[in-house]
Amino acid sequence: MIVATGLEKSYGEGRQRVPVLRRVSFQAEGGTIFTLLGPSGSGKTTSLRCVAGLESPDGGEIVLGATTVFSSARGINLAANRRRIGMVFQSYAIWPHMTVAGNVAFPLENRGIGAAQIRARVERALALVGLEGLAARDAPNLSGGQQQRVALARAIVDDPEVLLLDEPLSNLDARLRWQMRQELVALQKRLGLTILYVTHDQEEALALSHRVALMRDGAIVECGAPLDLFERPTQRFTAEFLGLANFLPCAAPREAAPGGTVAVDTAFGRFRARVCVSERPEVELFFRPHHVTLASADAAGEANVGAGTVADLACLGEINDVTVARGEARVRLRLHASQRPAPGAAIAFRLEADAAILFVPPR
Amino acid sequence: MSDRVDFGGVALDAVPPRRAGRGAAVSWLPFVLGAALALAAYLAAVPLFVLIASSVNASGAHLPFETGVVTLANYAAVLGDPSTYRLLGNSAVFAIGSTVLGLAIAVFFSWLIERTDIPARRFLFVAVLIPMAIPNMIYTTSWLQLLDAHTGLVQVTFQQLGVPFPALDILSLGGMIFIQGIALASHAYLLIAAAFQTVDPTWEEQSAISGKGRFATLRRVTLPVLRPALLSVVIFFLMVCIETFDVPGMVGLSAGIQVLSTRIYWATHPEGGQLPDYGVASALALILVVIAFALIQLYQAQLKRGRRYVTITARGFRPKRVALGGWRLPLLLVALALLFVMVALPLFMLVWRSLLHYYVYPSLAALGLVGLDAYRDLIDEPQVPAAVANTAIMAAATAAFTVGFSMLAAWLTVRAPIGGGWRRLLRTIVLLPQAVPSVVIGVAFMITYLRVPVPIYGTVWIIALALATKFMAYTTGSLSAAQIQVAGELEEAALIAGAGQFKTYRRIMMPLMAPALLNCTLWVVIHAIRELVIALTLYSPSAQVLSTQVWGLWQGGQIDDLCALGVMLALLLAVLLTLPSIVTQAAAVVRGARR
Repeated sequence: MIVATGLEKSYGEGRQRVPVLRRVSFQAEGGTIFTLLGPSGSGKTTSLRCVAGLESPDGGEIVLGATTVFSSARGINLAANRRRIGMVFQSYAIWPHMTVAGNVAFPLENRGIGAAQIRARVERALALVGLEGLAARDAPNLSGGQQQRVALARAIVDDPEVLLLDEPLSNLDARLRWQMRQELVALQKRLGLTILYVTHDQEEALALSHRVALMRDGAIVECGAPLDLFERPTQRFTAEFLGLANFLPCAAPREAAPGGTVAVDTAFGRFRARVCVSERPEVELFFRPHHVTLASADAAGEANVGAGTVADLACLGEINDVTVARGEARVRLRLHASQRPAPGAAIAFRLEADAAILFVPPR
Repeated sequence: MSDRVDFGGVALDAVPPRRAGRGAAVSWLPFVLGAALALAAYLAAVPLFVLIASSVNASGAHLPFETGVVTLANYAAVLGDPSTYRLLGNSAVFAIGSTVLGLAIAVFFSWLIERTDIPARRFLFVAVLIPMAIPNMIYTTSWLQLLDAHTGLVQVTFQQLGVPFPALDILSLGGMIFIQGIALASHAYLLIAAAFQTVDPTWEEQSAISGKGRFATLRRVTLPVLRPALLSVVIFFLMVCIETFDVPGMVGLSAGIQVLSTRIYWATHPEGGQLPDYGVASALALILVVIAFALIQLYQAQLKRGRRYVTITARGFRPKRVALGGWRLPLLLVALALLFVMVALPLFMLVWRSLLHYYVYPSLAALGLVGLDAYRDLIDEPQVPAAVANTAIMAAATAAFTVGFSMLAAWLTVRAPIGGGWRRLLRTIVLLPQAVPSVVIGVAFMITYLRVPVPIYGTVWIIALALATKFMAYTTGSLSAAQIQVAGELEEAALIAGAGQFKTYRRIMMPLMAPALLNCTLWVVIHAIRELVIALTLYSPSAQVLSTQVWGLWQGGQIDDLCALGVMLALLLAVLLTLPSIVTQAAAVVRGARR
C-alpha cells in the first residue's frame, strides 16, 4: 500500500519559485495498479519520484506498507536505496556495461544473498518477463522491447514493496505497447504487485488501472475507478482529458441542485442531464459521442433527441465519426460502421438515458 | 608554451544546467562538500591570496612578510621601471608572433588533411602530431643545435652547398618565436582540425556552384565560417604563449632576453649571488595574472559567440573533400617540406647529438664517433635514476590527487543532491587556477610554503600539489562533461536497486566514465612529466625531477646527456600519448572475441 498525504514541492528560489506539487494526496491499495494520469508538467512524474525517494517533497508524508519513508512533520526522509522499491524508468536505464544477468542481479547484490540463490532468482525473474536464455547477452545488444523486459525483471527481482512505473510503455511501438500492457496486467495479478503507474496516455490508464488519479498543474483533479471517471466525471477537465467529449453551451436551468436531474435546452434539442458543479464559469452539457443512436426524423422534438444536419463524416473502419451542425453549434457522434448518414442530410440522434452531465459553475 | 594538449576551459562551461535529482539528504554529504571546498580553496585561493599580500609587503632583500610593512612600493618600482614595459613588449611580440606562425601552419595542415583529397593523409596526420611527444625544452635544445651561429647544421649545410644563408640569429626574440611557433603548431592542429570537421560541405559546394575556385572558396566561405572557432583558438594560444616559460627561458638564458614569465622566475632565482626580490616578483606575477584573466574572459566570451555558429548537426555528415587536381603534388611537397622542418630535422638532431660526446657535422666519417656513452652516463649518474623515481612518484601523486579530486568535484557539481549556490561556489574555486600562469603558481607556492609550517617545502610533494592546482580546472571540466554524458537515470536506477551513493559511483559511474578517467589520468601524467617552470621554482637539489634535470644539463652545457634524456622522454611520452587508442582497440578486440 502507498499512502501519500499532502505532498508539496516547488522548484526555484525566491520570486522564481514555481510550485510543482500542491497538496497531493492519494492512496494505492496493496495488490492493485494505481495510475497517476495527466498532461506533461502536471506533477505526476514528480509525485512518483517523491515516492521513489529521488526527489524530496517540501512537505507531506509518504507511507509504503508499514514504513513511513517520508514525513516533513516528523523529519523522516529515507534514502531511495533504503525504500525497497522497484522502478522502471521511461528510458529503462539499463546499465550498458553489464550483461542482462548483471543488470537483474544488481538489486540482490545489495542484500547479502548467496551467489547460487542470486542466480536462481535472476533466472526466475527473467522467466517471468519472458527472457529465458538471454541472461548472458550484453545489455546494449537488446531491442527496445527486450530492454523494457530487463528493466521490469530488475524491478521485480527483489520482491519490492511497491513497483513504480514511469511511462514504461511510451518508447514502444503501438503493437508492442499493447502486448506489454497485457503482460504487465498478468504479471501484476500473478505476483500480487502494488504498482504506482505514471502515464499521459488516457487509454493506457483506463485499460490497466484499478484506480486513476487525474492530475493537472501539480494537483489531483479527480480520483476514482477508471470507468467512473470516464462515464461520470465531476470535473470538466476529467471529461475532456479522458476521451472524446461534446460540450454544448446552454442556458442555466432555474433549479439545478447538484446531483439532481434537470432538462436543459441546447441548439440541438432538449436533454435530461445530471447536474454537476464544475470549476468553470460556463454552463455546458457534456456527453460522450458514443452514447447516441440514430433516431427517426419524426422523433425530433422528443426529450433526449437532437436534430441537425451532417456537416462532416469520417469513416474510421469500425465506426463512423459524424459531425452534426445546427447553426453555429457542432456536436460529434460516433456511430456503428453500418450507419452512414450522407453529408448535408438532416439527421436526428437519441442520447442514451443517464449519459449526459450538466456542468454548472459553483455559486 | 606550457605544453597543454588542452581544449581550453571549454568543458566546464559547456555544462548545461541539469535538474538534478534531489533525493533524501545523505548524512555524510555536508562533510564531503565541506572537505572538497576547503581543499579547493586551500589549493587555489590561499597561494593567490599570499601572492597579493606579498606584493604589497615591503620586501627588497627580505623574505616575504618579514617586514610586516604594507606598501605599494613594489608596484611603484615595477611600474616606474622602463624595463617592465620592455618585458611587456617582448611578451606581446613573442605571443603574437608565435601564435600567428603556429596557427598558420596548423590551419594549412588542418585544411589539407581534413578537407582535401591530398594523398598520404594518414601519414601527414601522424607526422604533424609527432612533436607533441617532444617536451618543448628538448625541442628547443635541438633547434639551438640546428641553428647555432657557428656550428649549426643548417648554416653549415648551406655553406657546403655554396648557398649564402641569411644571417639569422636563433638567440633572439625572432628565434624564440620561430621555435615556439612550430612547436605549438601540433597542438593547434588538433583544435583546428576539430573545427574543420564541422564545416558543412554543402556550403563549400554552393560556393563552387557559384563559380568560386578552390582557394576562393577557402578564403570566402570556409575560413569565415570557422572564424569564431579560429578566434577562440587564437586567444587560447596567446594565453598559452604569454604564460609559457620553456622556450623563452632556455633561449633567453643564452640570449639575455626576458619576457614577463621568465622575469618573474629570475626575480626569485637571481644569478650571480643576488638576493631574490619576492615583492617585485609578486607584483609582476599579479600583472601577469591580470593579463591572463583578461584573455580568459575574452576566450570564454568568444567560445559563447562561437556556439551560436555551431555547424555540427545530428546528421552525421561525412564532409566531402575538396578535389585539389593539379595542386595535389605541389601542396604535398609544401607539406612534406614543412614536416621536414618541424619533425625530421629536430628529431634527427636530437638522436644524432645524443650519440656524440661533442658535436660533429653528420657525415660517414663522423659515424665512427657514434656511441651510447651519453645513455650509459644517464644510467651511471646517480641523479638520473633518482630523478626518474622522483618523477614517477610526482606524476603518480599528481595524477592520483588531481583525478581523485576532480572525480569528487565533478560529481558534486553535476550530480550530488546539493544546492545550486554550493555548486557554483565549488565550480568557481576549482576554475580559478585556470587564469593563473604556471610560473605564478610556482612562485605563489614557493612564497606560501616558505611561511606555512607544512614540511613539504623542497620535496616532490610540493611540486605535485602545485601541479594539481594547475591541472584541476581542466580535469574537473572534462570529467564533468563525461559525467553529464552518463544519463542520470542510470545512476538513479542503482539507488532504487538498493545501492548506496558510493557503490553506485563505483559500480555504475566509474565503469561508464572509464575512457574519460583513463584519458584524464594520462593527460595529467604527460603534463606532469613535461612541466618545467613549476618544478623549477619548487624543486630542491635533493628532490630533482626529470624536467629540472634537463634544465640543469642545459645550464651545465651537457648537451649529449640532455639529448639522450630527451630521446628517452620522447619515447616515453609517445607511448603514453598512444595508450588510449591502444586500449580502445584492445577493448574492441576483446569485445569482438566475446561475441
